Amino acid sequence: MKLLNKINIRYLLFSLTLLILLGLAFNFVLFYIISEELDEKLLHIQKRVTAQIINENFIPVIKPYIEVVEVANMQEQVFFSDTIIENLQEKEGEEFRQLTSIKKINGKTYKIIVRESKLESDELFESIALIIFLAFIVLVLILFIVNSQIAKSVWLPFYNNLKLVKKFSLNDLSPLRLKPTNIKEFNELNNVIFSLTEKVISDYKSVKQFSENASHEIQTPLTIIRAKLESLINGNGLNIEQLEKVKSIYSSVHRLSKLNKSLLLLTKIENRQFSDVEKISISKVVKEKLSEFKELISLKNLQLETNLNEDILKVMSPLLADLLVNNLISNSINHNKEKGNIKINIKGRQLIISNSGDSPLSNPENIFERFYKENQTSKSVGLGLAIVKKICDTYNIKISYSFIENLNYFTLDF
Amino acid sequence: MKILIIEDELDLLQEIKGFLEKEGFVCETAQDYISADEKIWVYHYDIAIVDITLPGGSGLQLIEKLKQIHPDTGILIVSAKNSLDDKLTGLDIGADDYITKPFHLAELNSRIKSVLRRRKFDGAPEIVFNEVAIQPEDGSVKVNNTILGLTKKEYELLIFFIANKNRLLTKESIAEHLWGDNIDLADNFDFIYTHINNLRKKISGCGGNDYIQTFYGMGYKFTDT
Repeated sequence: MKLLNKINIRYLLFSLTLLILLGLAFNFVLFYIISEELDEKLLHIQKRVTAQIINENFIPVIKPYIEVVEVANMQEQVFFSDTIIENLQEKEGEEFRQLTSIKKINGKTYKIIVRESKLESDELFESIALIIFLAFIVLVLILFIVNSQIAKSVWLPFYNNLKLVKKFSLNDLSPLRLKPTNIKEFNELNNVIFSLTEKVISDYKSVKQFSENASHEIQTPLTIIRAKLESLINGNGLNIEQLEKVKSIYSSVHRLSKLNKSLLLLTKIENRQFSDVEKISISKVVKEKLSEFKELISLKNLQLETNLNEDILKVMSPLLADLLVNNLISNSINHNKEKGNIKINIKGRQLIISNSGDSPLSNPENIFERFYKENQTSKSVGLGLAIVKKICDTYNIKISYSFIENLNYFTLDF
Repeated sequence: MKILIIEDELDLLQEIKGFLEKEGFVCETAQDYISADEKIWVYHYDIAIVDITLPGGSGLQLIEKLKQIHPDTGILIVSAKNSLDDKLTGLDIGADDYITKPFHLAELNSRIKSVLRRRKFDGAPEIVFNEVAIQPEDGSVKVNNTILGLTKKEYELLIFFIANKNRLLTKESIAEHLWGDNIDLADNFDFIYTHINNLRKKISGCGGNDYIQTFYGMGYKFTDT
């Protein structure tokens, strides 16, 4: 959930609770005040009626508002009560507040009942409550909007910088310089991010430098070992058993040097050291590579089907284009079965290479990982497809693998 | 033929020197920039093998000097860095070829001979091995004056064999020579066997001798002894 939304929702919930509580309290107070007012009014009327009886000996009666009856001798008393009186015209009960008082005036005992309809006071209460409630809501809404706007403008630099952080890539090799703001906390965060990325990049650089240097340094001793082994093999001083051992050392050195070259290549692609680009015709590269692999394909009795009438033009390094196609085709030859198929199609912006296989891979999601081997006994280095993936990543080519009806498909979306 | 080998690793230097001397070249060596610089000024070489990273300076500078003093010397760059920039700069300033460590000595030998052919014989000497004659200019091969129809790979294979005659060539070095070092076919060298067999059949089909000896599990030797 977005921070702003979270704050807003909290704010709204809080305001709503407050509104309800305040509303209830207000309701109560208002109700109390209005009832008090009504009772005071009734008392006042009752006093005036009493005064009239005393002074003018006139007994006023306005039903149902004022009723005066002479009663038997009783204790003087005054009390309020609520009552419902039938309205003759509307045949409906109307709620009244009444003040009943027993008074002794001039030796006679009167029961004086003064009534006031509660309808009016109810209406008053309702309209006052409504006005106040509306005012509250408007206030809360205005506060909410103002708050959101303020929050938005305050958090704007944060979101802008967040966008920059999202775009951050180690390959840019420059630390993140975020836009300064006038908010202290954000500036602190920016500074922390700057020094963090600076550190990450320098570590990354030194690790890369190290692996590249190490690979380079390994090349010379490898050459020496290889040269010495070759001269051993060419000499006559070894018996069969020794020759077997030398042979095995020799092929291990061969593997090691291949591995090293492939790792160097991966590092270089990552470092984007292949910057010479030109417009490459993918179908031309495929045709060239197929003619190189011609003998190998016929040796393994593979059936080759191509459909290269369409062409894809892509601006990329010619060397990497060559490698990309090379590794994909050699992969489809190496991991094929006897008398299997290889199909290469170009359709629209897609290059699809498929080859026969017996069963789907157990871990297809790892197929582009370094040193991934489906078959652990295979002597292949396991970097061919990792290089393919790296090249695809460099040029934003989408590559996917799938296994459908005993065919391994590699689909490249240029 | 006189060759100057400039390489700072003594072990490798000696190995290259030993190899090339067996091939009949006269070799001189230099282990750093200054001694290489001196030798360039004093002597004249047919070929110089130059390592780019040297103590005391860059091999690229040496190549520039060499080009000024003896423009007819063939230059082969040896580098641990398989970097395209170095390669392009090297070839731009006049090097004839570029080879990356770790290389096979047989590969180095074949490159040296091809540079020599281009430089010393204007690119068109006939390569003759008994009854086999190769015209590098048009890539034609004759056995007993009959033209052989070789595929590109078979032709390259034959040139590689003759450049390294009387030497055991490992399957690995043949594979790398024919397909470059990017090919990852570690567990399948059958295809080399197929090529070699085809080459054998074609040569003997024209009445040529079978010069290719198989060393089981190791490789092949092209020899008439």
